Amino acid sequence: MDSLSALKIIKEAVPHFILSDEISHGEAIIIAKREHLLEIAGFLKNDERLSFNLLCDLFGVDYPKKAERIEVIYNFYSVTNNCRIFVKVRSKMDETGHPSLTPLYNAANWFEREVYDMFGLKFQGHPDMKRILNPDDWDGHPLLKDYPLRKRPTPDKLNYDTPGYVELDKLK
Amino acid sequence: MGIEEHLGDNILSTSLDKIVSWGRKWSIWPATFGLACCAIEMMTVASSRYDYDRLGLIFRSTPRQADLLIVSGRVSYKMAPMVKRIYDQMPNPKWVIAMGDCASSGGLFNVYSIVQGVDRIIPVDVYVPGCPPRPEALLYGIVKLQEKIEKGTIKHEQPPVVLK
Amino acid sequence: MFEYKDFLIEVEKFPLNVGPTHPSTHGVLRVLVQLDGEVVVNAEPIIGYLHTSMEKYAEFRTYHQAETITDRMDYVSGASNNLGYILTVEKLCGVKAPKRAEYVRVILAEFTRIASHLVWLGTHAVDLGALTEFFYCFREREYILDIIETVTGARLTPSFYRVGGLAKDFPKEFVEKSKKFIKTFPDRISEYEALLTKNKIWLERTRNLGIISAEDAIDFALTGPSLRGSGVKYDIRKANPYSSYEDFDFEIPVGDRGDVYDRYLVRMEEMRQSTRIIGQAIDNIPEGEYLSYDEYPSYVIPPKKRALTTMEGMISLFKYGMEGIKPPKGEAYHSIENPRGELGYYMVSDGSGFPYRMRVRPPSFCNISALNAMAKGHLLADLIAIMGSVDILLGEVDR
Repeated sequence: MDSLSALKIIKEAVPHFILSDEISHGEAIIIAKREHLLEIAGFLKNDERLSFNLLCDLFGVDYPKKAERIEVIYNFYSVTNNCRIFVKVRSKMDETGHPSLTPLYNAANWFEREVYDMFGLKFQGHPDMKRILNPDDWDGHPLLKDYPLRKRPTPDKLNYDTPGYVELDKLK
Repeated sequence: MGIEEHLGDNILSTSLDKIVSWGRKWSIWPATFGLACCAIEMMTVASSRYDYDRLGLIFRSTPRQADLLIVSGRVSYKMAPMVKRIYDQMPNPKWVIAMGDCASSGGLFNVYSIVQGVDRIIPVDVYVPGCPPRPEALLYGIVKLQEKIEKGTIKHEQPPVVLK
Repeated sequence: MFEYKDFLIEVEKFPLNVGPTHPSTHGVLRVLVQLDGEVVVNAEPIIGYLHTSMEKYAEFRTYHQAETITDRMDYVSGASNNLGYILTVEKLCGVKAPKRAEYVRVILAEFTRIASHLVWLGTHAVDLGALTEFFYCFREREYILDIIETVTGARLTPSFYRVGGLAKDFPKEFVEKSKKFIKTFPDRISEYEALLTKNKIWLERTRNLGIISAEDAIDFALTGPSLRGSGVKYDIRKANPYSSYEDFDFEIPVGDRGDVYDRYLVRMEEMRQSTRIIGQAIDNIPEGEYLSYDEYPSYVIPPKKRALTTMEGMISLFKYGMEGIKPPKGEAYHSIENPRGELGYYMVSDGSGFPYRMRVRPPSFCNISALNAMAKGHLLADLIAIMGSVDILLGEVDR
């Protein structure tokens, strides 16, 4: 099955979850409604014709000029059908109702933590919403477009109280 | 060695300096501590073609038994306290090689998460340029360090740490 | 009378910190383990100690400058990472490389796959106490790096591909050296296997360990040998062939139990298959151009000879150097089969000379996220074996 026929099935079955769809460089992209994200992901995973069982990727893109500036892109892949589909969901930065996909896919756990770390978008229903790549006390969310590339912490900011860390302040 | 405290820098200890420095020179034990790309080249130096055992180097898995820290790769701000801690855990006398551009100056990655040179955290004795340096370059760096150790005294003065 | 259990002290979930500088974590992985006696109750990987902000940095570099970031991401298989990146940019621009370039790309990618598996095998065996394996593996790895160096000029970080082809044509000795290598290499693999595959200690330490079922593996988005060890026959080289992989005849090895030993066997067989692919490709490298400059002059760098002899070539080389390429507005995703799994790039272009967003789909990142599921209930010493069998690379986990 190719992406186009998968897109056709989805559009016929759940048209009310979809805002729009497009084809970009041979990949089918669905722009979905945020409140129906869990339902559409559940449909993609459990429908016998589709069975998108591998959540291949989940990441954000920042469009600072738009009102809903964070665009979260889900990359679903079906191992049985060898088919790929992208689902886009837009959110504001302080959006609280962006559903987490952790009930459906274990893989979503770390991906969503990364999106939170990089963009500051909190997922509703995530079991362990904390930073993953940057230190826990990091200031800001680096992949936002208004975060400067070379904004480094000053030495006085580098005091970690966690066991296993050394306070760099005292070494002066 | 434990006798450093009892011997001062005087005329009696000068010939002893030579013997001790000679011994230190041929038994540099680096800590097994790899960070990024350069760590792969550091492993290669230990492997069959380059074989740095002939220079008296043996990897020690704990910093307590090591006297050389090869900072092989980029140091992030999350990792920086650990690097400092490992350095502090090593007994005196100790030396540091900053391997590669990233450890020396930040190199390619002039970005928010990378410490711009490990010499902002710990004192560095030898810088090895390259991205990543060839194994031969690291071996040359070690030979340079040996030359430095040879000139040292029994009472090895640790350079001060200046945080930038 | 006292019984044995009266002497036991109740310690629930003894916490133990492994890493981030533990010798067997292969870099700077930190695992927070909770133990019940010597049994792992919970193993939580903590990552980010090598976070290099590559996705952010790529937004500040032109499309070709960003290529140099990608091979520092997965530094054991640099040519493979470059391939994924360049294919994505080519997809974005609508450029296709000539057949000759595609074959050389395949050869380099397969060589890095072998080199990467050799690093994995050497370090994995050292973790489990087989030190000789390390010296054997790095001996052959040096030959591979020599070959890569003859073509690209660098050992680990080639950055040799360009949009629409290669930076330059390969030298003559590349073919001879490669042929010489693939002639001897299958024997060397047998040499490695003679030390391990039927070794009693190796079997005891790897069999029935870190089992992950096919459903769980897919649920955790494992890819590559970690997924194929569980019996799922998913390899992008076969599923969606890219860069002329459809021309070559090779098998995809799969395991059946999904334990550490199966993943070991899969990788050993993959090295043999890679040798086969290289053998077929090196015999059939087509003649012709190595850059498709004639078809797509607006995106492809002019070959050096053209740039130095013709005026148009010179002008376009200058333009190329000063401005870089400007792909049309749009989004593209392309994934390749990295030694560790599916490495995908999602590029968003806004029509300027810099990528608007470069997203890397990291295979090791997903693979290590399943560590807890694999290690639960096993002994602490086996955690090391499981960690080694997943074959993570922290540069790519943290990016």
